[in-house]
Amino acid sequence: MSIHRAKYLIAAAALSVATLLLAGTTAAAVSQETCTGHWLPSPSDPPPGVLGQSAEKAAESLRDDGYDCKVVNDKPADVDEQTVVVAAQNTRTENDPDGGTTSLVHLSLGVAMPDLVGKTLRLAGQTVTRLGLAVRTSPSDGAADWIVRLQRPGAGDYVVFERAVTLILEKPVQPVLVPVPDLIERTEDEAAALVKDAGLKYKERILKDGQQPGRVVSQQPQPGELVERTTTVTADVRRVPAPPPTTVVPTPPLPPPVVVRTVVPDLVGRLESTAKQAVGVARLKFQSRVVRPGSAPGIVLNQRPRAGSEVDVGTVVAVDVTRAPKPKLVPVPDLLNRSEDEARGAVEGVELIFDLIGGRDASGRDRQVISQQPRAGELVPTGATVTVEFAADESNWPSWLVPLLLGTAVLAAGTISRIRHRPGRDPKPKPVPQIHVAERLTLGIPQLHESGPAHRIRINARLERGRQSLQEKSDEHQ
Amino acid sequence: MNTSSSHQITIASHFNQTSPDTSAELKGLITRSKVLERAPHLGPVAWLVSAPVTHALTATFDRDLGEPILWAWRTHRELQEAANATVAGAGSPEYVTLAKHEISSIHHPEVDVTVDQQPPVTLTFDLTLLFTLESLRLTVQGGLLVGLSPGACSAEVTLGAHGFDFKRSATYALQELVKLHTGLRLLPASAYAAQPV
Repeated sequence: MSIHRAKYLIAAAALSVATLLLAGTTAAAVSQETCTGHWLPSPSDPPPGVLGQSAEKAAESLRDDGYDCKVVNDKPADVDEQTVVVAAQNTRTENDPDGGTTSLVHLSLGVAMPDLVGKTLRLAGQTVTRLGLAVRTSPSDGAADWIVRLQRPGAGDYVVFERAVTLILEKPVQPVLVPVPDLIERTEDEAAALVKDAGLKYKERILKDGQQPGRVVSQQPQPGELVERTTTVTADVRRVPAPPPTTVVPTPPLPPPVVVRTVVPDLVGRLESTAKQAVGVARLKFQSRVVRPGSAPGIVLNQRPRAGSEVDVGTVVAVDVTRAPKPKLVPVPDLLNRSEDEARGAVEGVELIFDLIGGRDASGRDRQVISQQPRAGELVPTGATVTVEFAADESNWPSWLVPLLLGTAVLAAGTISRIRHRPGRDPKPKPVPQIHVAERLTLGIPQLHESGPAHRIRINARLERGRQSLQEKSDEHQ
Repeated sequence: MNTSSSHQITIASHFNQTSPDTSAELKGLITRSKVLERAPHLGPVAWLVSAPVTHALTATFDRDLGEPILWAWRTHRELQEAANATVAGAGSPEYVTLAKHEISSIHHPEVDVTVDQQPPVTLTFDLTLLFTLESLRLTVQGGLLVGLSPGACSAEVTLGAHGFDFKRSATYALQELVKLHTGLRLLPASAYAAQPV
């Protein structure tokens, strides 16, 4: 080795160490000063590949193999230091001052290409620009929402700063949207079929017990919403209440038989209360129905299942019981102007009791009813008393005769008066005897003859507050 | 949708769609149903009491149709909590969102009919109100319901008795049925003792 070559080696090593110390690990140290640019002895092996490495690491690797290096471009100001790598390397052989040759590796800084396929041009362009690269698209007039179908360089390849990246674009295909079917209140099977028919995916979520068990109470997405095919539709289904747990009798070494059957007691002829008690003792359920009136209310007429039959515990025993006899209501007959015998017959004919005011007439003459209580047509229970009153004995004339006679008398008096005041041929009036007529009109008893019965009706209506319930279609607020 | 807001919407008027008399159609429905003739114990005097009973029954239906909505909301947990949280002071309001929900209100209006001296006969009817409300936002402040997001409310009212029933449906703007005025109480009156409304 010549003295010059030895000097070069020493100087290069010292400068490299100094550079590394200054640079540390900060990205700010990445510059053209990374490599010495000084002459090194020309190695016999080709330089190592340093693509993808940071500039510092690349310089170190090259130096270890006897190569000097030089960074030939700058990092754009707004590019993140952490992303900067050696994107290209180029070895050049040059003559050194000592008369020999030396190899210098040119390092180009750049970045590793991200995967842009599938992204929109808007997003891919922003990404590439942030990395200090240029964008070239094909076709060149692609819209921002077009999709990157292909990229050059490919994902993971290294690209030198300010080089152009080519993005092959394609127009996005509009997704086929389908409306979400309405699953509310459908059964699980119906809901699943509807979702499948719509080309969507069905997913079920079981909720707590509640009304409408086994049916869909809410869904996501909502009915009618337009979604892409194969979207999953989640249906919330109320759980069907589990059957009541069966009592399990613990099994001792010698287990007694588990009582699940019982014998139906004989209930016919018993009072309803005692029948219900007997049914309870037999661990059965009691159900009664009032069917018809009987001599005594609440007597069991029949039963089902029959007495003595063996049934499962908890079976319903249905019985028919009597109710209290209902009073029979009959209308009171119209007795006015009827004779006593007619009135009595009419009253007793409808199972009512006939009573009269003043007792029977001893003369035996035919009397007529002038009032009755209750009034005609009124509904009264059988056995009720109907009280009647007859006209006095003197008034045996027909009721129409008195007004007729009075009218005749008044007419006659008027005729006499007109005859008396008729103008005569003699201008001198003859003396007329003074006649005083004392007229007296006694007030008769007004009679109201009704064609039918009158009723007094009282009405009282009320509306209570009632019961309210609120059920949300979705559980998100419960 | 019925958007008239100038008049009060009552249960009786809900049944009315043509006549200016709000209860006329309801009376007609009851009369044509012959429910009173079918009612037990009235029997031969049913035709006499038909008009008074119909009049009395429709009079009881002169109640705000939307009242049960507020009663049901008062049972809702989130609304109760919001009301309790805000009743103490005049702080900022709280908002409660309700998903699409149904409110049912079941009543049994009764009419006692006394004819002459006979024991009174009680006619019991079944009145069911079913409201379907879209999702909405309620504003609660000072323990009061003070705001409602706009929305539609469909109401279906069914009246029945003794084997007949008829129903009528209509859709209203929620603000027609629930009138806020200066705020509606969501808590018992005692909760507002220190905060007179």
